[in-house]
Amino acid sequence: MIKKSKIEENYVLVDNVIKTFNTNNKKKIILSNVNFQISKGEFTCILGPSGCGKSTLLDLLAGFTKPDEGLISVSDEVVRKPGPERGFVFQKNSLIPWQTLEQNVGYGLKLQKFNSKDIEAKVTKYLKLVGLEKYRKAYPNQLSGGMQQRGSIIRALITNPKIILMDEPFGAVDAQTRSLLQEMLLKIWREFETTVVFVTHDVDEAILLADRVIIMGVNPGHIREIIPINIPRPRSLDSSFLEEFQKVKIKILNLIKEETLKLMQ
Amino acid sequence: MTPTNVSSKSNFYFKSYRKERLMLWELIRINSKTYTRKLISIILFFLLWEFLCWIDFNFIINFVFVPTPVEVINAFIQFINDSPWVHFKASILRVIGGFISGSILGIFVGLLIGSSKILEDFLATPLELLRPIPAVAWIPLAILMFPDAESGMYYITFVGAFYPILISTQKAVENSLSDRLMIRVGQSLGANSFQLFKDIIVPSSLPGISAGLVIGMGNAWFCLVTAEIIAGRFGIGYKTWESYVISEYPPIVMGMVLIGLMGAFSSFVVLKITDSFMPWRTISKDGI
Repeated sequence: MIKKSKIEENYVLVDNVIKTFNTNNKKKIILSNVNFQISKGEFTCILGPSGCGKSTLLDLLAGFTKPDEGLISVSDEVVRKPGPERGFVFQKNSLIPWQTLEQNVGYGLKLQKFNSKDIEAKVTKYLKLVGLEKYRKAYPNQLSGGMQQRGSIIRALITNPKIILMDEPFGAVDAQTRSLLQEMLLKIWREFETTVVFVTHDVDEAILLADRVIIMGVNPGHIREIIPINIPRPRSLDSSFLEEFQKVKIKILNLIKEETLKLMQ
Repeated sequence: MTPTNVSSKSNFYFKSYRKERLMLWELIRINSKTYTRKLISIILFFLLWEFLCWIDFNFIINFVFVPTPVEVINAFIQFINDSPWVHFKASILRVIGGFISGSILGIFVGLLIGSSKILEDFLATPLELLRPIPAVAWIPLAILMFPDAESGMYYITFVGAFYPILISTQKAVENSLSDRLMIRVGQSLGANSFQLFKDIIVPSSLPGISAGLVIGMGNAWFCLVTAEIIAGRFGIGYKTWESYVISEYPPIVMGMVLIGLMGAFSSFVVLKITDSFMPWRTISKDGI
């Protein structure tokens, strides 16, 4: 039993990860010695000034790129390449344009050779979950940005992944839609008890969603601080009026300001 | 609200999921002004042509030997009364034969060299060296290389269709491969390389391939006259060339016009067919 709880605590393990990019034959360090663990079912947000490598870190978790040194594992499996066991939600326009919404949502299952009846049933269930069942035959360009993101989320969720990775998924939608999507995401997270890593540059969003917020620093990208958010759940837009929320927000804003100033020097 | 053109109507439904379709008579009414203008432009064109022939215009361009539109129409009537079907059939078969073989091979090789560096290194250079050779230059070799004149003619229309289809397909695939987002979407949902190729790369290359097919179809018609110079007794191109040899001018222009019309029509058909493979696209021009 001790071993099991250990696995659950180290559900996501990022161990001494170093990532460099080659630009003009010069190695540039993007991430240096990144270490953290995430336990099962945890909602983690990654915050930091632009250029701190937060998207690179998420790409590494997804397996789109490989670390130069160090190790990343999810649920005791080393991440080597992208796959449906780690669902990814992209920033925008990521529904496949030549597939209808239902084809998009069911595509992951089709690749896993599910039969078409099972796919149909599952797709219907997930479309209902986010209120898109009326639009199943629509092509992505007939849907609004918010609808596309909802489709994108359930497409990542439908293959029952071990973790959902989200790269600023609500960055490109308007403020009203964004808060609706945030509440919807929290509902889904509670219902499915998934583990989520969510990259954002919106401090309010991070505090509203996360159990812990990872603040990243610059020059080179590293983990500056990991801040637990102890605001009681279920949270909603009203949570932002709590004193605790404001305190954490000021703390985070100051940290990010320090890092942003470093970039300007 | 009275719609003044189709675009404003389609704009009105831009974000709605169910697309409204206009009835044919509505389209005609909306576009009647455009149709009138287009009709007037064609009439003016023929009047100008007739006029230039009538005054025997001769300054740089010589209209003395150019048949008038009326003479061309007479030649056409004569042609229609004189078993035209053998000529149409011969030409259409040659164009379709060249086009279909050119499309199959062009798309196939284009997909290969567009997606694989090794195959590109092996195949692209010789193909690129052969590409600029015009169809006319192929005539002697086509006569020597093929068992009969007919297959030589197929070869020349094939050459015309093949290259634009090949190059468009190759470039379209390369362009799709540069779209990292869609490839990542496929990868993260568990697609292997073959599935990525089939479900992501090929569909996203379709607009480019379609453009290649439309140009290829037009080129096959360009090359028809060249092909039919080789030999034969039938064909629109042959008829055109024969009329020149025997100094009978009106059928030349008739042949040209027929080739133009059939080329435009078949390109239109190819466009419509390929568009039906891409129902996901909504095209709005003029910044709407």
